Amino acid sequence: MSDLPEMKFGHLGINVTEMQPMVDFYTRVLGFTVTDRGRSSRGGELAFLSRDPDEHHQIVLADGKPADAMSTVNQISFRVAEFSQVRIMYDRVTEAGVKHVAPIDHGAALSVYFPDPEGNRFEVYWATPHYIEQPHAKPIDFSMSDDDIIGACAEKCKADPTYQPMDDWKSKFGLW
Amino acid sequence: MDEEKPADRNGLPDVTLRHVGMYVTDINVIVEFYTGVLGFTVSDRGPFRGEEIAFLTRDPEEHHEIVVMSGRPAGSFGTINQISFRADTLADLRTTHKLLTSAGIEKIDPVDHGNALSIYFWDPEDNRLEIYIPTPWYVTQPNRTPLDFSLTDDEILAVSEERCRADPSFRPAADWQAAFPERVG
Repeated sequence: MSDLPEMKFGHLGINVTEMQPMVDFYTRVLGFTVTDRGRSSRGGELAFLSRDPDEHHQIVLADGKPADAMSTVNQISFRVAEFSQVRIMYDRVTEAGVKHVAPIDHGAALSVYFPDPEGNRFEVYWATPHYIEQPHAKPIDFSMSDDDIIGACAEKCKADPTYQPMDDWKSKFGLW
Repeated sequence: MDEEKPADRNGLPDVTLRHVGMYVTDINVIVEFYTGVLGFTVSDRGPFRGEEIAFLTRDPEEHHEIVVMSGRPAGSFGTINQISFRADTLADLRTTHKLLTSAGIEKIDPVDHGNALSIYFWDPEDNRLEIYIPTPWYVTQPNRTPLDFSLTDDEILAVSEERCRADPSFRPAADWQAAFPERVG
């Protein structure tokens, strides 16, 4: 089935228990816009959320999740262009009073994780130029400067026996 | 809907959805499906926090597009509504439909959303997957009608366009996209 065409991640839908608090969180805290909202042909309520004009929706919220159901979402992960933007997101969710905000250094990525109101784990990350074997997770100390965090990550990666420049790793795609 | 407008989108960086992780019951069955049927590659796999985790990708630019981690109780409610990938052309979508059919996937649901043409199908743990192409049109969502792959590509596009133009909310997608900043307010 390697004949399947090229495809890019487009959007993710999650089932929710309480629609309005979720819509409030994604719009007010995370800056998404409600592009459409309505009922599906099967009667469920749907809210379409995007931060990107090229995508009608990046996240879809659909009601119908039982209140006691554990989320089967492990992570919903968005990439930013600069590490400083990870700090902006960290500051935003911290100031919004979100609990369990976790800044994590994966070597290959510098990330901030936080749960949405229904416990779905959201990640905003910056991709570093380093590859080290995954999973790898150490806390980031945001009392350090951006340059110090990026420098400490690079030093750690280069000391790892599985280290490769990310460009080398990408060039060997599928041959690992 | 003022309360649903973000307080300060401009203060936040642009973000692009790059990967999703899900908890699974049988990681071996799931990895076999995503690699064997959908052509993903396992980029790394190992123990993590008492469970097993596997990283899957089809794109060298992304170490992982899908992460699967064991720990989902068997038979528990799945909270993923859809995991959706964008393809380039209707020919790609038709190829995908043929490949999924020949792979013996039992439940395949081709849908015309007006603003997208989609194929939905389900992984072995009932997570719904979508592969879609955008159309040049916007109509208010949700919107769905069956997509008929017995029609030619030209016929599919013509039928979809005619249905969109008959919808009072019809707009060219480019117009809708240009108006996006106004919605953000």
